[in-house]
Amino acid sequence: MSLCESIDTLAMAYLDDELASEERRELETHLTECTACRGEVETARGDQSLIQSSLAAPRATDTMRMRLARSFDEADREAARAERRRMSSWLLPGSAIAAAAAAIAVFVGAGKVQTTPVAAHTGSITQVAVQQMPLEIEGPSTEPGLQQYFATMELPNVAQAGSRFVGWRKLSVDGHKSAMLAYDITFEGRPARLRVLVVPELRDGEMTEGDEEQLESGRWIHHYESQGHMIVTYIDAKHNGYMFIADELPPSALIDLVGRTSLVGPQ
Amino acid sequence: MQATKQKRSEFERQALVHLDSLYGAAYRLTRNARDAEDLVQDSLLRAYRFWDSFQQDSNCKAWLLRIVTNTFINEYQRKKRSREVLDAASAEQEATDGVLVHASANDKQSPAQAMLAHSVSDDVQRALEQLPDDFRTAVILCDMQGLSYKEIAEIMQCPVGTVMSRLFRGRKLLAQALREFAVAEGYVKESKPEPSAKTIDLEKYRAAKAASSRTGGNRE
Repeated sequence: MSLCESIDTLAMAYLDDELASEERRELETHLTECTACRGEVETARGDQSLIQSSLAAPRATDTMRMRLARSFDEADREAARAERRRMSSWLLPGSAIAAAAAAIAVFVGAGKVQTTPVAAHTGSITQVAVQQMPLEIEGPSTEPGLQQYFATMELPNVAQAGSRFVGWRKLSVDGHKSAMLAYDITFEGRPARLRVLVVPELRDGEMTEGDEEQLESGRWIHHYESQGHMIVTYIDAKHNGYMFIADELPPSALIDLVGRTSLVGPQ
Repeated sequence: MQATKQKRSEFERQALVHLDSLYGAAYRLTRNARDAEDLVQDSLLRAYRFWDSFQQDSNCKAWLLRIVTNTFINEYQRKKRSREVLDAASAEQEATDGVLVHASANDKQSPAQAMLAHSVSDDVQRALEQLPDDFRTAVILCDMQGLSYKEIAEIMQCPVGTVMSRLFRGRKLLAQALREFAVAEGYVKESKPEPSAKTIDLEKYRAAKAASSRTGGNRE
């Protein structure tokens, strides 16, 4: 077994630093004695360095780095949505909701509005929001009255989600002059009854229950589950609070809907 | 939310530091900047998705290169083939694309760097074009990325001996092609290394050596 016979293999493994130390020593000794093998190693070395220098490639561009960062943001959001979907299937069994939703037509049932005087805490706002109450003023034409009622604030416009304004009722919540609005919407192919509780001039800490999350639109929202309802809240730059409930929609869709609803910009 | 942030920062720290290397490999595998960007993005998103399955004590760069290589073999080759069939008629268009793509690959470089990269790398891409995919992949992983034979064997899912012979033949062919282009452009004088038909395999060498020493070391 001579080294010369296997010089192609040995030269390559030698240059790639793949030989065991004993094999390397043996080859190096041989190379001092054998001109032909030394020539082979030099030829292989020449090829390798030509190839290595030729293969140098351009670096990743800044544009590409930015594109990558955006795609990771999107992957993170997608993972969050998947997590919410997982959570929602645990909270609300799908077909049961659809049936229940069909049964609860509007804000049916009695429900006298509870007004908790001073001690304002978000819990009581939620209490009001999840109650089933009759609409005081029904029909799309009633919206101007609502505008007057809330002369100083902008109301949520869910028109872009294919909505129909159903009606509203006046409410007093924790001493706030507020209103419950109802819309029939179709969102992501699902028909749903959207209820929005509008509470102007929130005090600090009100309507900040639940998990905080920033949506794609840059809007910060809170969401949580209460008494079997998924609740999403948003506070605008003027400290007006909006609480959204749409039992027919999965939580992720409700969150997406709130993200797309036109409201006064984030703080 | 917190877990997501932690995963993201871990990934950025351990994986994204290899971005230039991955892009380089992708650039040589796909041989154009646009496909290379797509390949790297797809691969890194895949890696991010499977980050939990990455063994923290193993070589991250080799793991990422494995994903790049597999993605390339599985998707880009197929895509490229179907595109070639569809676009057979528009070879001219493709030539134009090549120029535009090249220009964008070289943004952020000085004009001089861009000129240099352009004239030299055209030859390299043409030379790489002539190599069979397996040879090209082996050469890129070894000579460009510095991976060991064993790591390359794991990525290419073949024995180390196969890696060695692909590398050996790939290097010979590539060096020859590079020299031919250089000759054509008058950079070097002509000299052709003859292709070798010998077996290139360190393990076989070791086995033969062990066998010969067992039989009394009758040296020829």
